[in-house]
This record gives sequence, C-alpha cells and structure tokens, in this order.
Amino acid sequence: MKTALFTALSIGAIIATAAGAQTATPVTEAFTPGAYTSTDGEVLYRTFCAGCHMPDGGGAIGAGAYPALRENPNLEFASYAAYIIINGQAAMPALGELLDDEQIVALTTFLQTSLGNDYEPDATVEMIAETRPLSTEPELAEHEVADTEINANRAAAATGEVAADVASGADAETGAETDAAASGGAAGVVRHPIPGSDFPILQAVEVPADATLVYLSGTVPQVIDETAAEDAQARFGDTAAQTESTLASIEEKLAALDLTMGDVIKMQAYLVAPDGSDAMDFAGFMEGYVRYFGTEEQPNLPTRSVFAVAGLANPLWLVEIEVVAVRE
Amino acid sequence: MANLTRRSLLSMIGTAAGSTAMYYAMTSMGHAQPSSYAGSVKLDGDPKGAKVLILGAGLAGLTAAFEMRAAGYEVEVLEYRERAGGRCWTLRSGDSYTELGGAEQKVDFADGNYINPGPWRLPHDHHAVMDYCRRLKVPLEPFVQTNYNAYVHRAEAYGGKPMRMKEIKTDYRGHVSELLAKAVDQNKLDDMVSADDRELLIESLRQFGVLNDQNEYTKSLDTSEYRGFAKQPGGGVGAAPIASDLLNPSEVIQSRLWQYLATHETWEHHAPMFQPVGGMDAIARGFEREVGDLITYNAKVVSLQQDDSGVTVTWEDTAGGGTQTSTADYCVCTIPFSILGQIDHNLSGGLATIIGEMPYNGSTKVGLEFKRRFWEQDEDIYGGISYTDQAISQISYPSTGYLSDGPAVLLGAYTWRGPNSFKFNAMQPAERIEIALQMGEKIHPQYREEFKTGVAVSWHKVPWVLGCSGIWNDRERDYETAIAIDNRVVCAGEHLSYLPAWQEGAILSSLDAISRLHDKVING
Repeated sequence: MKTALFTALSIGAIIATAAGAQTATPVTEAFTPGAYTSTDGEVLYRTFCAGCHMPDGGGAIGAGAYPALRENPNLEFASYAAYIIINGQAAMPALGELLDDEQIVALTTFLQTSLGNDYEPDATVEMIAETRPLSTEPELAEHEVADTEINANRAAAATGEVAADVASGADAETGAETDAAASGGAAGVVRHPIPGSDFPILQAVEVPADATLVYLSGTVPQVIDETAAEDAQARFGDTAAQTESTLASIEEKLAALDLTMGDVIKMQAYLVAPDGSDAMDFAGFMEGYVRYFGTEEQPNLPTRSVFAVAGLANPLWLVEIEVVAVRE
Repeated sequence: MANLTRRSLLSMIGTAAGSTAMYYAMTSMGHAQPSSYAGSVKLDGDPKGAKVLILGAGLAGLTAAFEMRAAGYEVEVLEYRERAGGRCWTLRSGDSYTELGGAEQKVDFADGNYINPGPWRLPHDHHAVMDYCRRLKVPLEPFVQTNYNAYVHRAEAYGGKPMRMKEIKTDYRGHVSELLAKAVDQNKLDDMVSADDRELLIESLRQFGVLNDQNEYTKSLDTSEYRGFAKQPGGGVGAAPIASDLLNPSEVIQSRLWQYLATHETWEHHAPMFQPVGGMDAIARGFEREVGDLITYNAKVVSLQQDDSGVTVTWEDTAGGGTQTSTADYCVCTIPFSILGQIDHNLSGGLATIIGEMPYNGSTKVGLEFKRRFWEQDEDIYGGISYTDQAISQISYPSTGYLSDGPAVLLGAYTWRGPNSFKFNAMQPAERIEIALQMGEKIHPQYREEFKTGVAVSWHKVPWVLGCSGIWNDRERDYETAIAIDNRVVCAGEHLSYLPAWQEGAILSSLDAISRLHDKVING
C-alpha cells in the first residue's frame, strides 16, 4: 500500500487561542490512512493520548473526567497501562489495533518515565503481544463518514490489505503488492514471494483463520518402468523422474479432494543421495518441481523445505514429499 | 361492512388497538415505511401526578419531557449545560466554546453563518425526527448530499488533481457496462445468464452505461450528455456542443475514486435530505419552546440513587454554587454512559457493567469561513460534498444562501473514528484549522487567499459528553439489559439504539423507554 504521506506537521508556531489553554507541542506524527507511524513514545503520547489526558498528563474534568496520568502510581508496572491501551477502559476505546507492539512499549516507557512518573520501564514486546486479546473483531464504523471509511476498508480488504481502520501500520504495508502480484487459489490466502528473487518458492504465506488446512501424508515415487528389474533404479528413475512422478501422485490425491496444486501452501521434500553420490540431486529435484509450480498454467508457489535423508522405506526411492494445501 | 372504506378500517383498528396496531396495519396495506416510529406516541391512562425526573436535555431527554408532561406527569429536567439540545448544537457568530484543556474559541463568523458540530442532516427516512420538526414547527430546507459537480480526490489519483464526480461516475459506469455487455455478447457468461435474458441485459447496459450499438463506451455527444461536455450546447453563433474526452478505463479503476461514488446511495443519505433552516439547534429551540420551563440548567448530576420508594438525584449548581437534591417517583436517564459511568449510582449490576464499559467514539469537525463563495463563483459547486483520501475526509459546501455575496462557511473536515480523529483530538483548535486549510487547499487553491476564520470541535474534548457516540462492545449480548427498566430508572439516548449518533436513534430510544415506563406506572 502506497500511503499518501502528508508532510509531517510542523506547526509549533501556532499558539493556542486562549490564555490558560494547555499549549501545543509540535506534532511530528503524519496523517496516514492506517494508523500511527511514529515509534517515539513521546510523539505517540503528544499526538494520541494527550488529546484527552492532556499534554501535561493532568487529565481534565467536565461533566465527567479524564484521569490524570501525571504522578500516577498505577504506572509503576507497564502491564496496567498496556492492558488499558490495548483493550480500552470505560469510555476509552480499545486502541490496540492502532499501535503495534513496539509502539506500545515506547508509549508505556514514556508514561513510566515522564509526566512526573519515575518508574523503571518494564514493558517488552513479548509482554505486549501476550496482552493482546486472542482475536479482535474489527471495529467497523457505523455512521455517515463511516461509509467512506467502510468503502476504503472494503476496497483494501478486496486487495488483501488489512482494513485501514483496524490495521497496525506495519501490517497494512505488507499485503497489497504481494497479493496482487502472486495471489491465487483460495481467496484470502496471502502469498509473499522472496523479495528481489525469482526463485520459485514463497518466503511466507498467510492463511486466514477460517480456511481449512489439508495435510497429505508423505507421497513416494511411482514405478515408471514396469519392465525394469525389481531392484533396478530404472524402475523408479532418477531424482528428476521420481520428483515428477511423486508430484503427479500428489496432484491426483489433491484432485480427489477437490484441490489443485495451486492450493498447496507448504512442502517438505526428503531426498536421498543417488548411488555413487554423497549429496542429494537438488538440480534433478528442481527439474521435476518446476513442472508443477510457477508455470503459466499453475503460477502459485508454496513455502518449501528440502532435506537430505539417509534413506527412505524402499532403497530405490530417492524422493518423498509432504504437502499442506488450503481450502477456503 | 360492505361499504367499509380502507380509511375507516384503519380508523377502527386505530381506535380499537392503538396506534401501534394501526401502524402495522398501514404497513401491511402498503401505506407506511417500515420504521419503528409509530407516529405520535400515545401514553394513555392517568399517571395520577407521578413525578418523573429526566436527566439530560438532549433530544432523548427533551422528547421524554415533552411527551410525559403531555401525558400528565410532573416533570423535572436537569441539564449540565446552560442550554438544551446536547449534541443537537449549532455554533454561530458570537458564541464561545471552551473545550477540555481550556482552549476557548470565540466564533467570529459573519451574522447568520454557522456550523453544526454534531448532527447536520436529516434523512427523509428518519420518520421520528421529521415528525417532531413538523410538530414543533421547525422549518426545514434541502440538504444537498450529492453534487455530481463536486470533486473526488486522492493524492495518488490523477497526480493529485481533484476530479469532478460526474466524470468519474459516468466513465466508471460506462467502462464497466461495456465490459459486461461484451462478455455477455461473446457468450462468456452463458452459464450465468439465460438466453432469454442476454439480449435484454445488453440493451439495459447500453442504456445504463451509455454504450453505442457496438456495446462500446466512446467519446460522443451521447456520453457527454451524462459526463459533461468539453463545450456545452448554447444558443446563437457557435452554439454547437463539443464532446468531452473520456478517462482511460484502466486509470479510472486504478484511481480508486470509485470508492466515493456510492456514499449517497445508503438509505440514510438518499435524496432528499434536509436541514433545519439556520442551524440544527432549531430542533432544540423548538423543544425548548414547549418544555424549557421544566429544565434546570447548569446542573451537574453527581449521584443517582433509587430504592423502593423513589429516585434521589444529587446535583451541583455550577452557576449558582451549592449542592441540591431532586426526588421523583421515576427517572429517565439520558446521560451518556461516558459520563454516567463516572457518577455515583446504584443501578443494577448488569446495567451498571454496560454503563461502565461503553467506549465513546471520536470525531472532529472543522468549520471554515471564507470571504466569498469561491466554490460557487469559480467552480460552479452549489452545496454537496467533495471527498478526499486526506484526513479531512470531506468538504461540504453550504446548502443555503446560494449566490449571496459575503462570507460563507463550509465544513472543512469531518473525521469519524480511526487514528485521524485521535490525531485531530490531540491538537489545539488552531492547529486543527491549519491542517484543514493545508489539506483543503489541495482541492481548492483559493483557500489561503479567501480564508477568514474557523472553528474546530473534537468530540473527545467536548466536556459534557467526552465523545461523539456510544460504541457497543457486544450489542447482541447487552442491548436488552441496557434498555430494560431498572426498578424506577430507564436509560435512553442514541447510545441505546440501532441508529447510533443519529438524532433519530435518540428520539426512538426515548419514545420506547417512556412507553414502557408509562406502561409500568399505569399497569404496574
């Protein structure tokens, strides 16, 4: 997603309009569609929390009140502030979706060490990650301007971007280009190619929670020459031939499950070094592999690992392959 | 019965079974829209002088006061502010507004100019608020929601140049229609479109998308009739029209400007929409004319207690000083949960939990006054809304005072939830105005030259509500508990409706709450 980045706001020169008003601090957080981008705890406080808790942390009182964060003993442990930031409290909305883990660490660290608080910062990225709810329902706007936002989110969702209103900045950056370039098969699966490389495997794949994963047992080569002797290598062929016949079997098994090679998201290949060689025939394996993946007819790629193993169940087998496929 | 007319049948049903039954009968006979507004509420039966205390004089509280006094109750209303209306609020010349944090804004608009920081338009399908405008004699005028000559704008579309909505709309429709018509014509959709339908579908697409006989969307006087001409048809010498160029189909798709084309097609934005003449608070003033004598202003509620014998509310007189107590038999509490959650109360556990956990939404509006109506004079935009992907999200031009000389106010920013609302909220008013100018001038270069003054309201900083509208954590789970009568107290407001942030939601919530409360008073 290429975000429209407006010039960082440098408007410190503008003075608050009334005597007694809390004065403004220069804002260095840009307006971006998705979320907050700064990783500076003070900037996050000034451009986010200070709206209600006030620039000096003193809180505010009207018909109701915003609590003071200044000299607040609840900030001794970051877990308290982190929980409230992520989940909200009382009339304060949950804000976890607008900040990533590092940003919340930066923010709680600022709160613990500023605004008259003098505590040892104790937040870690791991702690923040654990504080997040297991699943969060996207907060859809419900009102008029919401229709623009909803439409934007729908548009974003359609191209694999995380909905702008609920995404952390980092997440929102990832989806669009990779998805548009390499997606296919089950809708909702996001395939991430290896950046700057055309090697035909993925660097990563994202599978939505509502998709069904289908695990195939290890598949082994087929006999390709019935006339060859029971113990002749030719009966199953070399690594290239075995890879091809193994993948052909996998394709059939998938078809029986109403799936295709395009639905494969993960592969583990076990290769045995051919007789007379002390290394696997990786080139031979690739020769068979590229007939099934990254072709014009079947452009989808899986994530993949290739292992050298000492032997397989049949001494003539040089190849065994496991795949995981995804069904929406 | 032979001569029974439909009207007399309706009248009989109404007499026999009450207005609700009549309403359903009308709906089934095709005479009414399916709204939960059943016409003027009927609170039949004598409450025998029972007293009701209404907390909050927003539209929910005002509705309750108006209807319950009419039904024979003794009514007392407590309001935190110095005026009625709540979020039904208009800022105009001479007003001053101090937000949390202390920043005070003195509104310096020209006489008659205003901005509605809260609700600003009335859907015709909001039957309750429309009916109260009728009954309270609040004059309405059209609110222009849709203006095809206004702009749609994205920083990355067309080099940041604002595009007229009519061009994007017509070309998007035309290009899509051409694709679909050709696909059908080339039998590519035969498994989805029956042979009988194919020809008619193509014919409809030619009309809908303005396609030629070859199913093509091309530059022509025909397509210009919809998207606008390079030179309009005129009179006299050289009057012949000149067709306009079409936008490239791929660019239209890639521009993403289509995302703004359907905003006026949701039911709450269908034309015609309306606005009260002179500002939204005309509705509050209308209610105030009826029930203003019941309202105690500057009353900050600090405690709400009920027991078997009645309700006791303690409040601070923020104008005169001191603490006072009001008692009643029943209470309609329209205080936003963002505030009520901080008040000492003894409401029941389930309700108390919901009150204590309802988040409130953020929103920012910026009103900008310019020395002249350059959008009308230079760009032929009369009312309506331009949309942008910038944080201001939209620019709404005034739906009144067209062609007049002198200053005019437009809505220069309207954020709704999301990070941009928080960022605006964290700014001082002058900063919000500056951002609105920075972003708006990308659409209207006249901004700086013509700017006169502005007002910026960020709802999380509004002292008497601390947010724009309530958000349900789990409405399906909590709704019935939240709206139920808790012994002698019932809560009402936009937050207790399926129309959050709309005045219609506040009124319908209130009418339902007082109907149930009244039933309890009369029938036990």
